[in-house]
Amino acid sequence: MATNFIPSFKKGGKPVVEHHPEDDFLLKELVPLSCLLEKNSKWVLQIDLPGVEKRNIEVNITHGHVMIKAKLKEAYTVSNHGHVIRFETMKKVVSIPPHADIKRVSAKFRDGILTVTIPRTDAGKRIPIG
Amino acid sequence: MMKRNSIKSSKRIPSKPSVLIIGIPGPSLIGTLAVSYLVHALDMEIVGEIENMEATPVVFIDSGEIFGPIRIYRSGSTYAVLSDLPIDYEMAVSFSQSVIDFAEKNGIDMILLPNGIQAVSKEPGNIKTFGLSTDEKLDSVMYENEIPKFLTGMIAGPDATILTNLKNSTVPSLILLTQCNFFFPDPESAMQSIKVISSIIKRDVDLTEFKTQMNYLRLQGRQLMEDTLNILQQEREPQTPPQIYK
Repeated sequence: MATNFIPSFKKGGKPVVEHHPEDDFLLKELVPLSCLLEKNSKWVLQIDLPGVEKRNIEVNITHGHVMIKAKLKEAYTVSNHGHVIRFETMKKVVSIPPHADIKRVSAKFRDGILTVTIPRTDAGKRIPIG
Repeated sequence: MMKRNSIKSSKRIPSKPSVLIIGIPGPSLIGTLAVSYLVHALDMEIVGEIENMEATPVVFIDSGEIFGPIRIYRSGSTYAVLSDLPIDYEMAVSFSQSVIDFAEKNGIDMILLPNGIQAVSKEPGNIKTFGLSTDEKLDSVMYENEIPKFLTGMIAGPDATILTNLKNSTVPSLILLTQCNFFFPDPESAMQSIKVISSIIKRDVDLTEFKTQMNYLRLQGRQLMEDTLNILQQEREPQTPPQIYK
């Protein structure tokens, strides 16, 4: 794939400490970044999936976890201690907080970021004032 | 040590100033991505390093030579400091003082610090960069380059320490805050930051290569982003300013 400029050595200088999560190599899949934010009565889980098409994303939710699996459009190649390794998929399992209403979960994908919206069951009910 | 009563120079910013650009990991890795690419695109040469005894011991090897994680580059009158490590609380004071010492000794007219601010909704193609200056002489630089002023907000943690030291130094500094995702590497916002820097330093930067590598940069920057967030999250706790400032 493309040349590196992080770190900015132009001729293939390699850091003594690897920058990539070791889990990539253990799992043989890339581990995407994610963040879980609380917004009003919902949890918003964002997962960064660069180089992925919407049709190649799989989201599964069970009690307690969301599993995201995605296939990269183009393989991501890294050199680990002299061995070149190709990654073709990304996968992450994220724990979801308690009181999540998993029946009303929705997801959208925009600019390489998957947003999973999880309503809360303990959000309360709005009472109209008569 | 912080200078409590520093005297600011009254000389004006020259039309082609000597500039020092600082690239440190922060929100969405804006500074790292922008300055790494500038070093690459402007073919800047390594001219030195900043040694920081508080930093994690790590070295890089290139063609049999050993380099530290915080390096200084130069191309003409443009200098860049690039850190491969996030600057934490312990490193912030000595790092900023080293940068200021270097700037003073090398006749730097202006320090640029590209960074990111979280945007609730970012419009692709309409990403804004705001400016925060430590010296009113830089107002003209912001005006000429159509950079709106960052008017209200709060910056906490190691970034605040760096800003305070820059504010107390004799070298004018301009902090460039570009709207970004905050939690993930954001090359699109970094590209906006590069365009603003390119305009300030009056040097053309070809972004073709950068555009082709956006997805790669997002994947490559994951670990550094995670390490940076661990430090930023410590500083994000005091979100509410003290009552006296409300």
